[in-house]
Amino acid sequence: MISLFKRKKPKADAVSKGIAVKQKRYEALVYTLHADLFRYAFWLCHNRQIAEDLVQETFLRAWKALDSLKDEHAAKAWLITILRRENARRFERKQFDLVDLDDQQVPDKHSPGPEQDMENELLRRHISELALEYREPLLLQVIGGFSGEEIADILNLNKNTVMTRLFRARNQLKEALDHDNTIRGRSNG
Amino acid sequence: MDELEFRRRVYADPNDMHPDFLSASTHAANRQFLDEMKNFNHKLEQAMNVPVPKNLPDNLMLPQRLAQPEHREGPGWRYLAIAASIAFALGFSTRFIPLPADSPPAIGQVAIQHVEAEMPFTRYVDEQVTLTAVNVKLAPYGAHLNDMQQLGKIYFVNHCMFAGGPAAHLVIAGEHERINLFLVPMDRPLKMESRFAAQGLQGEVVSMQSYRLVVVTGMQENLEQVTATVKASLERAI
Repeated sequence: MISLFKRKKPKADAVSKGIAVKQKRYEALVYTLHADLFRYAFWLCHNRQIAEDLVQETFLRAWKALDSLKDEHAAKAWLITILRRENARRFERKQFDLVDLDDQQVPDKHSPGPEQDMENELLRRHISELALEYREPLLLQVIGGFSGEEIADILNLNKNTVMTRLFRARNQLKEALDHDNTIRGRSNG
Repeated sequence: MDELEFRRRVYADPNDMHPDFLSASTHAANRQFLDEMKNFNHKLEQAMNVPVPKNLPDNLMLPQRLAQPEHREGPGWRYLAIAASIAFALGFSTRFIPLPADSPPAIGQVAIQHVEAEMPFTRYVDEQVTLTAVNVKLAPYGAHLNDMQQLGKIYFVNHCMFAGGPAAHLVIAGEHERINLFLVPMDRPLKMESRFAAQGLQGEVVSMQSYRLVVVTGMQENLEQVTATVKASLERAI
């Protein structure tokens, strides 16, 4: 009779151990990748709240599908892919808000001075104005740190196309900033 | 590679590590351009580096914690199972508590209700009951029939439920309607009455050695005579 109250361990333990392992994996992904994912999301939708929602959705799906992630090294690309899909769903649901770029007050903690502040602000605006097809490869390269091959994989493009788009993105931004500086240079005398 | 190609490569990726790119970057003009672009790229990095909401990681962890099943269940269910078993056993045992005989049913009422209920069956049944068959059914009650002469035709004999316990039930021929007989064990909790009548039926109760004989007939029947005859048939057997 007393033995009735001894907890039988084996089966319950295996299940809870499995969950604990999954939990640890998930935790690691959250803490190492949430920042990059948030930034990427922000640059996709220009809105901090929407970006946060996108990241939540992304990680929720990641949790559900975590068993399908076989290699931790592939985690960032995997999460970005999920994020991009979630963002696409937004447009299917017509959830995009017309964002007034002037409203986007993004506090800049790295500003070395008002001059750089200004330049930073201008650059941010230009990045937002980049066409998505040029913006995404650039974000993946700069924020994600992905190689040309990896970007091609994520965006489902061939590598040459990716390199061309990266060229165009930077080119446009450089020209835009140079143009701004020229104007400001003139007005500053 | 030529200068144009190099510039394209720089725009595409200032941090290109391919050997051909690296060797091209050693040339003076290329070097300067590369430094400029690296500088610019640094500005891009800064611009893209928007601050992340502080509570975001915690918010991402929270739903998973809620979704996680509790694995420290404890032996809870076992205690509940034991409690349920005990409750059941207690509940079941009340079945055997002898209730105070505040009102055992009247024997006549039980008999009449029984006859009424089975009337559609007993009115027409004819199982051609033999002497042997009768005695088999009577035996548990300590009764016995020597012959069927006095009793006459027996249409039916079997055990039945009578006030919560078994009794012998016989259906025999009467002068008018059929007669129902019950042999009810002595210990059955019943309110005694020697005569009763209701719903167009009448009856008499006789205490025999180990049972009570209940005779139920229609109103037209000579109840006294029937009872005497039946009693005599059963009494002669010892």
